[in-house]
Amino acid sequence: MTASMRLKEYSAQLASLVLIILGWEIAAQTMNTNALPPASTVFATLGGLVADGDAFGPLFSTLLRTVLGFALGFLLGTAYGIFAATFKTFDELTKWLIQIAIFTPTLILIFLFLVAIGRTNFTVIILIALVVMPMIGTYIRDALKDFDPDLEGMAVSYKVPLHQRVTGMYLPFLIPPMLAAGRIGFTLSWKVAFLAEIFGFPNGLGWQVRQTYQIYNVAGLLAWLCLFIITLIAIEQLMRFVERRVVTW
Amino acid sequence: MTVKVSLRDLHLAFPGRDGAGDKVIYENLNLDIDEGSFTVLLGPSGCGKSTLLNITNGLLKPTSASGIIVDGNDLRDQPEMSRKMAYVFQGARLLRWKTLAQNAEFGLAGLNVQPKEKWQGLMEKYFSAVGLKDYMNHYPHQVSGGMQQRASIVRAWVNEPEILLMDEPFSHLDEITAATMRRILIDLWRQDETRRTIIFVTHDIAEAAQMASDIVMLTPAPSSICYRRKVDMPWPRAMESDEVIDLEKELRRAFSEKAGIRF
Amino acid sequence: MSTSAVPTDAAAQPARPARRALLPQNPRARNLTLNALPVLGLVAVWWFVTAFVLVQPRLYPTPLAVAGELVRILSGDGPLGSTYVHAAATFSRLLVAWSGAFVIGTVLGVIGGRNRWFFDFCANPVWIAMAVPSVVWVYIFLVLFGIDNLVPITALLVLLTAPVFLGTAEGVRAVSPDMIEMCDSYKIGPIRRLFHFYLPSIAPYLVANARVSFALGIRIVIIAEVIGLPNGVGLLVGYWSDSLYMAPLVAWGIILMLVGVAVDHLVFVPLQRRIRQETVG
Repeated sequence: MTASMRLKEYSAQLASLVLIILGWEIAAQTMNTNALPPASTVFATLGGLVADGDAFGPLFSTLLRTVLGFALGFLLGTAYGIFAATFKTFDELTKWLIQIAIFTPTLILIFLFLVAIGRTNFTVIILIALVVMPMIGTYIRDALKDFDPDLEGMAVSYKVPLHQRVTGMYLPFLIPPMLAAGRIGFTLSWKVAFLAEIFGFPNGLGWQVRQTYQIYNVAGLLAWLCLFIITLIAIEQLMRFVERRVVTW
Repeated sequence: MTVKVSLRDLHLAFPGRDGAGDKVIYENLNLDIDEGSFTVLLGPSGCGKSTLLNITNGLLKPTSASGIIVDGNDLRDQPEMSRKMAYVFQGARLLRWKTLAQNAEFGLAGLNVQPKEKWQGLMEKYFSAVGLKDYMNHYPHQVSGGMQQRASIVRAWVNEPEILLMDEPFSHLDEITAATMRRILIDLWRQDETRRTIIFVTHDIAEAAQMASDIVMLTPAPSSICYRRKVDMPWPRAMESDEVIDLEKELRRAFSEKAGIRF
Repeated sequence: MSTSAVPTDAAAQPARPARRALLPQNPRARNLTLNALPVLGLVAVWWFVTAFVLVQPRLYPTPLAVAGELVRILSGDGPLGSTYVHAAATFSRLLVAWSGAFVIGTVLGVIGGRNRWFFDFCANPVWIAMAVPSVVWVYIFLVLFGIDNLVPITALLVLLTAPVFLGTAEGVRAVSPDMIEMCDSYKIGPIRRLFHFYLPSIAPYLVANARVSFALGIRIVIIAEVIGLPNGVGLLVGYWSDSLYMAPLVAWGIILMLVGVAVDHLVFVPLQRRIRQETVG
């Protein structure tokens, strides 16, 4: 990609954001209602939250739960994907279980877990893992099914030792889908953590959003929301950067 | 003879990748094509022959040109001029979810051939002419590659265009099918009441010798016309006849002398 | 050589019936058994735990209690009026939003697939639409519009359009440039090009988009309904959760899960298979 193309891409991406914020500001200024505070007020509130340090407590407690839940779900999902792609019987045994896990509404799981297991950090971590695991598992399983059997035949016919096959063939094949699944999975984890907080877990970003909504503090609601989105963007960019660095072939 | 298509002072260069210099395809190329001629553009692969068709069809803008003239009008001022043309590609490029007849209709609708009532008659006429009348309602995957290419020739011909642009249409086919197709094409062209102008691109010297009324030989890029000759020989031409073989020899000699290509 | 082969064969013979007894020989039946066994096992564990370990039927309902709730729900009996009225409200919302999102996302996706600038322009809004949870969209639209049926539909529309847009754009980018050149050369107009060329070309992507967005929609319509709406399955789910009564909650979870699986396997999977066959055929 040439520099001018990249510049064009960034300017287009920026243009829509500027347009949204501008439209928001103008709409808020002309409507002048409580329901829609101007963008400037919201960002000032956000700035205040960051400057006072009030933002960091909820942010880090949500982030910690997300990271732990995601890590658990990612490990289980990857292991599941490898097993399911390798052993046909295991794939068949877990087929319906995975379908059930995928199609059960997240909200019902959240209600159920928060009530049945209690409102602990552990509950939220288990919840995240349970939602993320089947998504990552099926992604990796399907990616591994594309593994070229000819390559395997070549390795066997050249008597390539197992550890070399793992580092030379399986891992390079496995890492790109793992990174891609990880990126999608992390976004999902972040949302599940947030949802669990909105629907009753008494701290973190989601809890703040719910609180501000209940006292109808719209500027506060949007400020916390912006914090949520900005964190997500930052993490997403970080993961893309890592992906580009690792996947160079 | 009147000139049908005229390319004047054509320049074309593609920007190089990652700081490499521009790749120049044409530098100051001039080409006139006579009305009613079967002009063959002959040259090695990658010399930009197909690009020339795309420029003539208005699909590609040259870096600069003092004229892309069709019937006395510049194509860039009057894009409608390109409706006088129909394109036959190297592959059949048929829509796989439409029957052969519906594919032909797709082209008729695009080029907006009027009146619509004529379409059915036109399709029957030209599908019969290439021997595909019984296959009009078949889907592309139900017929052979040669038949697909015949259908794509019909898709061009049903529009009864004044100019036909043909980009190595037989190069994907086996030699025996290709030979049949060449005969079908020449018959189709000669049977028409109006003599259409054909611009036919190929890298196959024997194919050129067998079909052309006018041969334009191009060098590798940056491409220029290194040899040109009219062929005044009646059709159908037998591939093994002395005249055709002599012409092939002459073309090969011209290639090695003018373009530095050895055989 | 031949003599040694015979006894081995004979020795292998008796082993077969034993295996047949364990699992059916017919591969289809065998797979079904394999699929179903762990689910049955899970139900058995659930029953054992709720019947003997965590005996607290309100918080930890037994399978039998959930089955009873399923029957009650299916007979239309519910705390806030007929369950069918709520289910109809939820599914009409889902269908309206899903079909709207499908049409809008597809049209914008075709444009985005052809026009790099437009795609880049949409990239951030699309990404934000997907990243922000549905419930937050509901909050935002609630403060903007007030309590209205439009709120969950708009929220769903925003969320579902985004993946359809991305999938369609990807499909359009995969369309062969040769075929686009053919359309250019034959001067195919925009309407004909969309309906006769792009949409059939990307049919596999369209089905995949419909499938993904429906599965997503059925999960988030409930979330969108829990807050501030007078009816819908979400309202019932919220009600049971607030009254700390888990059996109907689980029953609704099972119903929604089954509907999702059924639509997927009876509509989208056959459709996808047919289109794949046509593409190859």
